[in-house]
Amino acid sequence: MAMENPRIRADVIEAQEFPFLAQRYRVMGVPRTVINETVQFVGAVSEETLMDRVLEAIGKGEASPQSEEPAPSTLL
Amino acid sequence: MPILSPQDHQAIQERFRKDLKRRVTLKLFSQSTSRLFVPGRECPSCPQTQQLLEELSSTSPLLELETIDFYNHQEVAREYGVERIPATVITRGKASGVKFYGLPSGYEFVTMIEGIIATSQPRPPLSADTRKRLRLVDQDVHIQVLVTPT
Repeated sequence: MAMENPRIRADVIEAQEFPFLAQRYRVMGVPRTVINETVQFVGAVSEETLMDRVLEAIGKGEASPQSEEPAPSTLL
Repeated sequence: MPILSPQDHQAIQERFRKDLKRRVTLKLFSQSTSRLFVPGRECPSCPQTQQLLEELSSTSPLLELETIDFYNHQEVAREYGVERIPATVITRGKASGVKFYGLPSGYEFVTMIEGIIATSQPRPPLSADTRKRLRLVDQDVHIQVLVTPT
């Protein structure tokens, strides 16, 4: 997605090397994805779901009737 | 002593021969090895990352490695949005928008290879629906994926 839209940047981070980040985002299972510090989820998701979450993170989300995702949590 | 086994080296070579379509440059932001030890600037995984990426780039004539000293070229690091090292930025002409922080081992290594291949293709492997929805993104989006080596 970062390759398609220049407003999006994506970082893949080895959490063990950067424990500050691992702690900040409470990384336990892998992988944990955090979008704009607000939307986050654990594990792999489909391309469609990732797109849903990206739009949600910028306030353009819409309720999906088949959504299985738990309510987004915000970082403390 | 090489990091990649001969089998891995060959498998990656095959994969790139088949799927790497255009020249891709890996820009590694690291630190130059010097005899001077500067406290606060330790980067234990920098040498290993350098070696791994050298081995990776040797598997294809279309894959180049450029190493940039983070501390001596901070303006370049800023341009690429690199905040910590080691950082590997996949580029083709310009930055692809994807960075890897830390030694890309295990699962992350596979992800990097896929990222290199995707960057080399004329269009990234996304569905038409996703491409359409991506046009709605008109603000900065920062996606961070945190992984731990298996």
